[in-house]
Amino acid sequence: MTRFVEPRDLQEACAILADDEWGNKVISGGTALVLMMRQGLIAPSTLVSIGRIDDLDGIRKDDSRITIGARTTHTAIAASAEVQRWLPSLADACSRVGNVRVRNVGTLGGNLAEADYAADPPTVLVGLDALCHVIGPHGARVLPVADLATGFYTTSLGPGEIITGVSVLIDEHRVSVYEKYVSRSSEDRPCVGVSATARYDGTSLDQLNVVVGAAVAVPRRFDEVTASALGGTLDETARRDIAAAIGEAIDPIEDARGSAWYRRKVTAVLVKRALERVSR
Amino acid sequence: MLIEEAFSVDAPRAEVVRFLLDVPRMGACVPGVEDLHRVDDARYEATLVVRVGPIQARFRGDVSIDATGAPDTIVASASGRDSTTGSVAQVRFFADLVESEDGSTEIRSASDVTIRGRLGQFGSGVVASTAREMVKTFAQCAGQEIGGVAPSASRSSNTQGIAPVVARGVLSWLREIWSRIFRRRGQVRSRDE
Amino acid sequence: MTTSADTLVRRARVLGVSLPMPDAADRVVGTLEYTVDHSVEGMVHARLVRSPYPHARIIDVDVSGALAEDGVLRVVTGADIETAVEIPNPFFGLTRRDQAPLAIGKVRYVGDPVALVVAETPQTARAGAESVLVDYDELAYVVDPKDALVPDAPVLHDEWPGNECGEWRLDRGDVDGAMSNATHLFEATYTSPMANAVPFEPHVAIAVWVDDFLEVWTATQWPSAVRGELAHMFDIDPGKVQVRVFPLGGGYGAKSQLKIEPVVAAAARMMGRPVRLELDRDEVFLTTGKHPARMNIRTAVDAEGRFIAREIDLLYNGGAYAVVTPKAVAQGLLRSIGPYRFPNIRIRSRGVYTNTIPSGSFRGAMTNQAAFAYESHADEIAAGLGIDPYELRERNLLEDGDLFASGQVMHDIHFRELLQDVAKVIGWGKERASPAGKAIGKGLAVIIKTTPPGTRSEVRVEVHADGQVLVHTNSVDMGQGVLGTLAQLTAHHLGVDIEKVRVRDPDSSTFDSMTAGSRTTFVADHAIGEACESIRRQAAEIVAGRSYGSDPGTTPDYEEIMREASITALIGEGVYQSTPSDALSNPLDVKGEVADHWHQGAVAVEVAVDVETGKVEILRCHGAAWAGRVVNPIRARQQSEGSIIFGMGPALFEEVIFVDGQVSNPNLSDYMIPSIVDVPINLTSSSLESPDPDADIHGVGEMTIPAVAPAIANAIARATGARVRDLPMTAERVLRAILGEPE
Repeated sequence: MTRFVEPRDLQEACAILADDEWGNKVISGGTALVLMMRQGLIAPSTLVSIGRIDDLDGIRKDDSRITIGARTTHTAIAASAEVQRWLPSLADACSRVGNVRVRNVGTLGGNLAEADYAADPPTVLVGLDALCHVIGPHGARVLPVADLATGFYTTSLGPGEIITGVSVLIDEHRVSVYEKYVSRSSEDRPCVGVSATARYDGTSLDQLNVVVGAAVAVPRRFDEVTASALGGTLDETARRDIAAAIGEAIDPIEDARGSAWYRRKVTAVLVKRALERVSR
Repeated sequence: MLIEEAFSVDAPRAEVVRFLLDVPRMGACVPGVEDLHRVDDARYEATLVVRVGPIQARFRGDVSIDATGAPDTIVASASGRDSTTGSVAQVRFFADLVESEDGSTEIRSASDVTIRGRLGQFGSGVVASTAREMVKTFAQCAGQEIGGVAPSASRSSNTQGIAPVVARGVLSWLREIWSRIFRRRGQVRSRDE
Repeated sequence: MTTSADTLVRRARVLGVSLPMPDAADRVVGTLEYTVDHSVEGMVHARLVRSPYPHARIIDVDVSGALAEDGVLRVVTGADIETAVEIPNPFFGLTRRDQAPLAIGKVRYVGDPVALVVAETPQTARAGAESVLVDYDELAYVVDPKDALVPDAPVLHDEWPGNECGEWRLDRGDVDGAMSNATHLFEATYTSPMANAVPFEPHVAIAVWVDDFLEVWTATQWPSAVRGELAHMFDIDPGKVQVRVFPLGGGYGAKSQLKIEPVVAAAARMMGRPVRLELDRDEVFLTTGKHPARMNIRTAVDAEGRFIAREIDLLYNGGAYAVVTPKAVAQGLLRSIGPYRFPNIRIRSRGVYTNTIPSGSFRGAMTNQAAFAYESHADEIAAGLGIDPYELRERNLLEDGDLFASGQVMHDIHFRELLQDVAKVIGWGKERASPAGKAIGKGLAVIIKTTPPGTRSEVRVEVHADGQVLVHTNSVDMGQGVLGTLAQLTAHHLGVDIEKVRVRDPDSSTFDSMTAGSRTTFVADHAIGEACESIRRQAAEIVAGRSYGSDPGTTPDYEEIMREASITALIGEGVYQSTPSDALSNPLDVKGEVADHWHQGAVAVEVAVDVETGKVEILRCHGAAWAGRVVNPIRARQQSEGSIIFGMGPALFEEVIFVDGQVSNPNLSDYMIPSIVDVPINLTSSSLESPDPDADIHGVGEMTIPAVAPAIANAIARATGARVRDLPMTAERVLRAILGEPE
């Protein structure tokens, strides 16, 4: 019989988690965890809810960063005026997670901790150089979201560690977009997700990154490919070449949403479209 | 699902055969193998721990080798049950060995993996990817092992100094069994769904 | 026959009126009681243990672990059922009695029930099921029907060598001669995989025995069939079996025939307590599905596209148990003919056993697969000859008086009108310009479905002294509003206010072959008409001096009549029994009367294909069904449009996928049904009616669904030049077709 506990502070939560790495799990919105339990894939002995811990949800903005609490729902993120103004590609990604029922209950922290490859927000966060704030039995630390997911459903979080939030630098000159492709019904999880983030110095490209998610085990950034476009204008030829190179470079997963061949094709198309949207 | 992986080792075919028939040595290269021990001339028992994120499966079961096709082909078969998810994993690993003039051997392997029970329903893409990774890791390790580099300490957690299986007579009996698709004689009690 | 103006007004008031479904509000808000919500005092809970192997002998079932769990009361195995004295005939089935409540001797598919754990709570039953250990000896298995037919294939049922599960043939004219003289020959193979109906309420049943009486609450579309088979199983009189059905949370064919009722009734018998079993979603996937099918068509046409000869070979995957397959593939044969004239035609339709989920009924049964094939094929012929697809169909569609391929004379058919209607609404002939990156195109399809003869429906109508009218029927409401429709028909035939009419949920006091095949409204109209006619006559006889007879000049005041005569109720019974036909008496030579009447539908669709990804967007869709006479316009629309939405799934997304002989996607994340967001805003329908006020009422529950997939396939082909012949037409399949990249 699974125990359900609701600690009041993070230290208590971390201690319970660290006590039994396999048996004790954090539950946030629960949309992913409960599904796995019902499918009989996991049988936690204790579910550690973070529902009663203060300061874990909400969106804050200071001069340099926007910080989103781990327990903030996708709906809240998508609706936030702050996020829409400063991180519109994240608002877009969160507004398209699953379906409205999942968005109302599922949280960003849970989404990141689950490290399901077929997710939307991580792809955007990696492209925005987002930081992941973590607390554990040995204290707090910060790591790039890009270093969080290490494999299927696997993160670099240590025993007892809990994600408390995500923060992103504010940058007036940055333009970022998210392209989501679903191969089946509109409420399907993504077959391929691509984020493109660019920064211009006048008309010439100062920074550019492209991240591919959902088609691969963990979101992958292709700085080595996009570097070739820096200093240029990101014209049609450059966009096409980058798209083709990335389509070739990925090692795609095969599942009910598409084969490896198909994901390569669609990735190239999505990269091209994302680059079109960030080009001048 | 079928996972094919071809790799070369810097050693003659006879050495590769010796490696593959040495269950403890070969088993040391399979990621997640625990508690590998000999039951009799034909069989070994082991536990294979597979982890995908929060999901952990411990497949307990049998391993046996069919060397009747050596030195051209070696077939290793394993079948185990995981009690947590009530799943059964069946693997048949076929290795075709082709020796080159320069003394190296190419191993063309095909792993026929079948997962039954709940894990069999869990994102076949993830299961296939995980299985593929395991085969790759095995190939890499086997290449280093056979090629003459001494195994690092962390890999030999399950060696118990047991003599390799060489009883060909018993193995030819095994071959009869394995030649019929999917037939097993109640060696492993399978948990039901 | 004259009709008074007054009665005409009365009639008009009820028929053709869009009265709301009686329980509409409850359905939307979630307060309607379904079978899954029902409980019985003292009931215990069950959970099935299922086979993880596609084909294996059962060596031993060790239940000790389960029995050791606190709260587990009993574990029933196939061996227990086989030897139980109370269960003289453990095998059930409506065509072949080849299925046992729990597998006896061997398991035949992944998911085949092997044991039933009964416990005090559902959680305990689940825990108990995890602890049952079964020893299997695996056997070779087959998944593809073609593999099941080869000489040395593993055999599922010893009594059916070669895995034969039905074979039917039809041969008319001289196909070989016509083919050899043909100037134009077209041939292609079309496939449909298994699909699941995904009713939102799972299969659920409660059985309780009181002495020798069996009472079963079950979510079923065929209460009479359940009753009959359970009576046979326990060797008791059907009068001792009562099957009760609440409105269903969806049926769509998934709840036809028998599913979990036998095992629940058996367990209840052996335990002497009421037993309840409810399936999880993944178990619903493992219980039944639409027949996977492969249809090969060869057609000889002349230069104007007129069909000269056709040869069809149909192979249906029946799965592990017969269920209805041996008979269903006969309907498959008939429905593969399509609404066309063929002077020469030869068809072979076969069902095959394989180690997969037993196939069963599905909305649009045995028509979807065939219509996808023949309507795609029609467009391929049209394209090959450079003829407009609409034109090609016009030249070949059947009309009244024509001979169907079985030799039956067609009557009351309206394919041309349906085709005309959908073509007009979709703007056939006017093509829209395609924006960059997309290809836009239109497609249409027209289909036929047979209503098998020989079915029976009984209805009992009671008019009570207080004016309340009760209708007893064994028709099941599964969201199609049939109980409301029957109330409207009763009010119409009796001439009373509809507010006074109440239709009872099925309770075995009457017989109905099945609530399926879109037959209910049509047959109910006849049966109710007969029952009400009887009541009118009785009323007339009671009132001395008033001549009533068959002229409904005035409507009796039933309350007054009964009050004056001091009686409490007037009861009328009506039966619809269609004449059985001998057309299917010789399976290798089908010919004769094959349908009571014909179901007819058409769909036209406009799609936009993203040529870089293959993704198909439906811009607009219009369906038309022949209704004859519409009882309730809004309900007819809901059925036609609901059918279209239902059909979008198997057309574009839905496929039960088998890997190593087991289902790899028995959940709603990996098995994808359409979202409401996928439905085009521009979705419309027509229900075409006859000007004759006494025309037959045709059911419209499934008329548009079979035309959806081929209409979409044809639209994709016209837009992109790419033809997809395998369902579902996923974006990947469309892209591969566009790029010429095989799978």
